[in-house]
Amino acid sequence: METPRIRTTIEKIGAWSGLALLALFFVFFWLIADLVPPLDPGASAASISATYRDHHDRLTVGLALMVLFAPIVCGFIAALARQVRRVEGYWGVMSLTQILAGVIIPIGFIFPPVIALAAAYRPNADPDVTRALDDVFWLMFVGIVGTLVLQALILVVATFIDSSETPVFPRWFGYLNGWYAVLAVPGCAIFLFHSGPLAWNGIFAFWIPLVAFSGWISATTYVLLKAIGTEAS
Amino acid sequence: MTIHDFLRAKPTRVWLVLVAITVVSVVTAGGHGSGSRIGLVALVLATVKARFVGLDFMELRHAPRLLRTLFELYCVAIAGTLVVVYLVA
Amino acid sequence: MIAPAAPSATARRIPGEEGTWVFLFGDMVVFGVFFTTFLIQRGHAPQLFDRSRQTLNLGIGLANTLVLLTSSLLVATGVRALRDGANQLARRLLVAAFGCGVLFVGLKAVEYTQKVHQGHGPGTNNFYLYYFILTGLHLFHVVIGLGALGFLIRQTGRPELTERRWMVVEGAACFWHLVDLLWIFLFPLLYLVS
Repeated sequence: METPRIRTTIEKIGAWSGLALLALFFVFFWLIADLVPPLDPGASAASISATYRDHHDRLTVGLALMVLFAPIVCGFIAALARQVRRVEGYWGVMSLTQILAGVIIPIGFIFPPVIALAAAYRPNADPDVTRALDDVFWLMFVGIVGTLVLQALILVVATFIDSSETPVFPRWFGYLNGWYAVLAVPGCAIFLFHSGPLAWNGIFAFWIPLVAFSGWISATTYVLLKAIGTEAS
Repeated sequence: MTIHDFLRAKPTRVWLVLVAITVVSVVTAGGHGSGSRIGLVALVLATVKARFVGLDFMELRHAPRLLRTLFELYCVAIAGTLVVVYLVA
Repeated sequence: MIAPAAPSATARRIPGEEGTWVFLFGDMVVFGVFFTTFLIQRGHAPQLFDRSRQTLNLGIGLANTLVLLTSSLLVATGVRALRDGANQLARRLLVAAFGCGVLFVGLKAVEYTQKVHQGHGPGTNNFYLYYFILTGLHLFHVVIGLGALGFLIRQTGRPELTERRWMVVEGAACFWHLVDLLWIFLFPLLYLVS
């Protein structure tokens, strides 16, 4: 039976939503809220508090938009899990785990911004309170990497166990995910460092994972679109 | 074939060269004081070694041109970057 | 055993699968960024980096360099032996390479213990922070590489390798060479150049 075109279109919209999240992140988080590069984890409470006061409008608008629009990435997670399911042939542990771990992606773009918004909400609060909220914001936003690694490892396995005539994922995608899994790990160290490459604004914990995540979302969107096209024909 | 046949091949000669370069770089750069530029020699020699590993151990010497070129570009880029950063930073 | 992908003298071919090179080049580029970051940090405090560098055990560093170079030769020769159907010989060579890898980890452990006993932890100064991060990441690669070598050793027990499996064999061997290649840069950066 031929897959109805409307179904394929919906699947493709789901896949595109990954890249859409990335684009929105750059606009809301970077251009509007001006939070890239991150605030300095070694900064004094007074200076963090001042940053939240002085950038109040940009910060709140950018992050509020992020909170509103982050859920669009759910379609991407769904499309990804569906393709893992195609490898498995049924809703097995890998595809279900892919969903469960994938849930953290929208959450990671919603909950931490809400905490930063709470910090911005009371501009005249005790600076120590503002900084504590800012700490929670960055530690949550940059430090939760285990689920990303798990997603990538599932994709590695799903790529390499697929012995069908036309595999769902190309083999380079498996290797790419192995590479991405390794690069995502250093983010977990930010809880221990206040400066240097492993702090939340450091090259190993922030910049390289950011580039890797951007590359991963882009490559995965591309691979999903291909896979959906193959599935439909 | 015995192990001798296998060891009488190019990779073994490459290994000898690599060991020689390692010793040379340790002897020339190992004892220098701070601010010396001799560290540059060690960086360039490292790139030469890495290129041998890529071409002869990873067998990129006979890889398709694109892959081989990418690797050569990597060697040039990393040597260039390290030398420039070493001098400027 | 005849490997289906045995190279002729002239034909150009990719060692391993194409996809392997996504991973290998990706890793090489990221480590390139690490090396550059290290040199930039050194530029901020050249005296500190030079003083710290001289507390490293150059002997262990040099020994580990030679150990990895030797293991790479053993792997390269082992793969050629496997290609020619000399499985027993390939097995011995690859087991020896695995032994070199374990030796590397052992020497690294001795070195780390020495450093910590001398009071040089990752928190001592920026040099040591980078020393531990970079060598730690590399050590992580060595451990994965040992897994790859274990896979290679098991393949010597198979009477025949499919083309796909042969590609993976070459990819695994290339990963081990990558471990060697990265150390080739780390050794002078940490022990000689600072």
